[in-house]
Amino acid sequence: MKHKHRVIENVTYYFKTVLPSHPAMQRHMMIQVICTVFMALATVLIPTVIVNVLASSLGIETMIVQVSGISLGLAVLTYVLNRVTNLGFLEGVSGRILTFGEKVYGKYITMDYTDMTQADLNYSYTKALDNGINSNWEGAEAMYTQVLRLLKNGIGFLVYGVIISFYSPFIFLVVLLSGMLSFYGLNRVRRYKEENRKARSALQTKRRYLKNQSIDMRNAEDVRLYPIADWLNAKNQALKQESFDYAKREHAIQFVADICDMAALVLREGFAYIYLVISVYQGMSLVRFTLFFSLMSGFTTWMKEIVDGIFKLQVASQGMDDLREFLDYPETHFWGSGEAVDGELTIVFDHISFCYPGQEKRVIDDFNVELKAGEKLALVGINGAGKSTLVKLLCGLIHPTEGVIRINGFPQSYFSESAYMGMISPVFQESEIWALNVEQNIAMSRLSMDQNRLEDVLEKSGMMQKVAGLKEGLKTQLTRNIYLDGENFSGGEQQKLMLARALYKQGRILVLDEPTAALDALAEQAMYESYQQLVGTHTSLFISHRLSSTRFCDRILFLANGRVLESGSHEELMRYGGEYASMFHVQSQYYKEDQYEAV
Amino acid sequence: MKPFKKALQVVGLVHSLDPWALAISGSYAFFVLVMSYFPTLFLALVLNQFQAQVPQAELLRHVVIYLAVLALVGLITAGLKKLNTDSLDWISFELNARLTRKSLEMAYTKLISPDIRLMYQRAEEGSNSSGGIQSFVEDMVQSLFTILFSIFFSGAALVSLMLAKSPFTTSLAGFANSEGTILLMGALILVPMVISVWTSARSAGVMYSIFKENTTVNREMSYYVSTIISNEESGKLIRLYRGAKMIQEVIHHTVVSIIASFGKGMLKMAHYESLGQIATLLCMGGLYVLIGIKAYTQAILVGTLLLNVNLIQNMVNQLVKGLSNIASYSNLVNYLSYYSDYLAIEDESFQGASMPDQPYMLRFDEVSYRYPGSDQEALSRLSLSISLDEVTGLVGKNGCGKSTLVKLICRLISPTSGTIYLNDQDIQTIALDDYRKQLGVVFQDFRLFAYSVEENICAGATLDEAWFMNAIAKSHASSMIDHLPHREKTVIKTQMDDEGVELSGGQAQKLAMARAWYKQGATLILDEPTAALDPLAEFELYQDFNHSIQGKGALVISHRMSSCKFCQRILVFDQGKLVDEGNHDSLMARHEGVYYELYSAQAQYYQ
Repeated sequence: MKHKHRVIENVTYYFKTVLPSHPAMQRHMMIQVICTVFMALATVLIPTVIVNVLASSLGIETMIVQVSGISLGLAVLTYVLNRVTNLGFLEGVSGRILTFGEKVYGKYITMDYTDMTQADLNYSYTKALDNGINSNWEGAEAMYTQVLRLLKNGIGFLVYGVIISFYSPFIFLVVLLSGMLSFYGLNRVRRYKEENRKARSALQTKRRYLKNQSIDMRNAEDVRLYPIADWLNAKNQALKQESFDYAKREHAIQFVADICDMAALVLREGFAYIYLVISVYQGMSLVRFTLFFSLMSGFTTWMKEIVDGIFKLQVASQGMDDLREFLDYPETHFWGSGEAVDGELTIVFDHISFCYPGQEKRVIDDFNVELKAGEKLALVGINGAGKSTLVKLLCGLIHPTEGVIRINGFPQSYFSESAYMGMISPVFQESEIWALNVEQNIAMSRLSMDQNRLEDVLEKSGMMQKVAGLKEGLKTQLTRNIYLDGENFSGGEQQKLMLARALYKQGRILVLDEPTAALDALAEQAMYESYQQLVGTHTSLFISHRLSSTRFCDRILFLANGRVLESGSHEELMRYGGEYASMFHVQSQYYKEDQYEAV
Repeated sequence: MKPFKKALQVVGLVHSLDPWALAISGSYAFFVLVMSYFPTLFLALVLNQFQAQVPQAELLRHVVIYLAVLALVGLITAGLKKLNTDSLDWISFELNARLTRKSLEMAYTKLISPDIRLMYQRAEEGSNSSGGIQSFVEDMVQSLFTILFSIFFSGAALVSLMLAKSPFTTSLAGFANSEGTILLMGALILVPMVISVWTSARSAGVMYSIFKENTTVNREMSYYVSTIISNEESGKLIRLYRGAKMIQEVIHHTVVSIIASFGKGMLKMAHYESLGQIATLLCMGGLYVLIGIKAYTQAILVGTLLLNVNLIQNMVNQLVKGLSNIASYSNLVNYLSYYSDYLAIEDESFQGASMPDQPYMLRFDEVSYRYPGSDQEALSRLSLSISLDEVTGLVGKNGCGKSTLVKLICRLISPTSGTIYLNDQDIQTIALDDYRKQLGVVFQDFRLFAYSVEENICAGATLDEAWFMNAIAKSHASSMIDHLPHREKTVIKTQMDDEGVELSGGQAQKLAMARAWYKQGATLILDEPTAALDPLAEFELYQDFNHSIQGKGALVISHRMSSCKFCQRILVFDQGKLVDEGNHDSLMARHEGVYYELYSAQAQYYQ
């Protein structure tokens, strides 16, 4: 689905997007162009002036005056050019990270979760970052740099071209021809790079993965207890060799391009000298000769810069294509604009079915359940029965393939995404702690928090003691990702933090997915005992493999193959003697003194 | 001089990565200079020959020779460029490979030490912002060579220029011939160089302080962008906890702040650059005048005039650029020397005595352990024995020292005091490789890698089909693997493979178990081995466990007190001490104590 825009189109797009927020950019570019061309002309003039004085009968004072004058002029232009160049550089960087960078990040963070988990979209995002935003030399910033370069050198080329044509129009043609020779060589390089870009960046990704894994502390234990180091090293060596082979091939093609370049040089020099030797013997003055040669070398420099600039602009344009592909990527639009509802919430799962995109198997199959306001529901079943999927559906992270979920009668799609998600306080199986301090991790905000609310949730989640024991209490930094002396919580402590976070949010629907998996028995017991108090009048959904926890719920649903097999309170299901009862027996047998068989 | 020593250190690093790098770089720099001077030299020759009225045919012959030599030199230069770019890429690849290897092979305590991690992080950050080791070779080493050769080439010409005497006797000629003029020329060359070096250094200093000011802010942004945003787990959190707004604010704040501080810094840098360049310009102007006078007074020929003008211009430019590069990149040396230090960290030692023939017991003798930077001991004068022929359970509340014990047994850390014995041998004296081979560990937060199921289970050991089937059977992973799209060849995790799959918690846990079982004859250490399994899967595992283990030993840590029932022996920990031991029945018979409390707390819900 890759859309290629023409280079001109990308250039226009870039400037149309960036100029409104960078009004001085155009002016700065113009100044740089003018300064550069004038400075080049001035530099050419100096030897000419000197030779002129020598060849004519002008006095030494004329030479001194003229050379000084030109030097001073150059000095002023230098000052102006440096200042404006640096300002321009800043604008280029800003265009990249402020204008485009924020757009890309913004889209990725706010798009529907379903989109975010799609491999294609992720790949597009990665390309947009790597080729469009992450470097000074590619993508968005390169658009600015190379366009500027082409302007500078293009105008310089034209000016010199006009002057040189006064000598011989053939010179112009020869230089053009030599330029085409260089262009041919560089084109081969560009083609090679483009053909191999995907393969090479895949290699780079794999090498980077290994490098990151090797330094990641979380892997450190496993790496040393198994012969993993040798395994990963061997992979890395193979990747290194393959990457190097690609690099060598590219350099070989570059070598050919350099030969073309050299041939172009020989062509220009040859023609220039032969022309001149003939002309001088026909009476051309030394002064004109001098001027010609100075112009000639400047002329070829402009030309080479233009050739290189065209290439770099083409590459930059490809980066822009990647950028635009991501920004234009169609998104799922599921949410509406309705506001959240208050008070006690009822939840209705109305004929819900779900399949993962591209798959036929129904992970959830015609699920119909009604939760009354304040009801506490438990979901049990073996791994793969669909419990976590239901949680994601309720949270609005994924959307039903069939059926509707309603809150107080309103379908999910009525609400805006933030309104809907604001009604839910989830605790997931995996703990996710960010490199912020404790209170920021709980409140999920960097601004001021409600201290009373914080204390309340610390109490309820059992974190009070731990936090009291920390040197900086609530302001203690967590993880070592940003601050290297941050605190690392144990598994159990992390889980309590997750609960505190969910409680702080005060969503009217509480969803708990294995909230006690990492807690010891006493901490688990404490949580169960405060569960009623914790959950209060919230409508809640509880998933756990520890069936002991289901006793605190009003109703239990036993799920198998995405369908509800049994439904009822703990006592009812035990009396019924079906799947739930048998699973409960299996787990409880180890806790019953008389039924256990000794080892 | 410290920076000089560091520079040498980095040069040493480059040399160890590619022994030819320096020679190639130098030769390439040499030929690049030749290519730039050669045309000028010939031009001067031609001009002088014009003045000397050499016949046209001869001149044309010279042109042809010139073109041939030019082509040859161009060919050599292009060839050296290829070798140079190959070398630069190789250096970069090889450095990264060595860093990866070092991280993998370093001792555990070193890898997690904040000082060493800081060293690594600084090297990486510096590299990312200043261009890394390739920049060092290209911009610093090559610049150095260029400077040396420039001085050599231009020096000779300059000296002859300075010494060239005018045959006239006018006052101007007298001036042209005087020593004063020579000194003046020298000064006009040296002054701009000195000024430029000073301004470059100041400019680099400004850049450096901009980076330092923004280090934390940069790190934050980089954290949010690469860790948080690209992560599915974070994605859930971002949406459900309105993290999007917070992250966007951080990004915006960072970007704006970076641009603002860059803005201030860059204008300052522009002033310094201008100062340097203007000084050069004005001095060059003066030089031109002096050379002009020499030509005017016929001390030199016109051709020589142009040659010298060009040569001097070239030389000053090269020298200024070279010195500026070195000044600007002097910070790079600081960062890169961290790489050198990192690579110099000693590897874990695998030397030692061989394992006892029949290891049957681990004995702790007054073992204590305190984590670095902590005031409390995680384990306090622990003395106990663990038989390697039976299943031992380890219980206690969170934070009681269980995982510290496991790390000690695995020799990831060593006791702060006391000794651990395997049979009668101090485990510190046993060869590390052999020692660890006999342990099959499933850590609570085990990790798998983005490669195939089969590779993850073998974890680097060679594949033995029979033993592989055995391992997946014992961990009850066979059926799960059969249902994967490519069975055991399926790649887990999707980040590097389109056909990879993301495993659920339970599936991953079974793989980790299979990995431990795959270690032939090992003693198993299992930390929360069923945390992600449903009751039926858990039941299956425990039912089979005694049968599977076949008389070998295991150490099991679990919060599910039910698992203790099949342990032949249970060790009870509290606050870093062993407070009780026995089996389930004997411990429960006490009707009090940590074990009784923990068990009862859980069992009550199942009565």
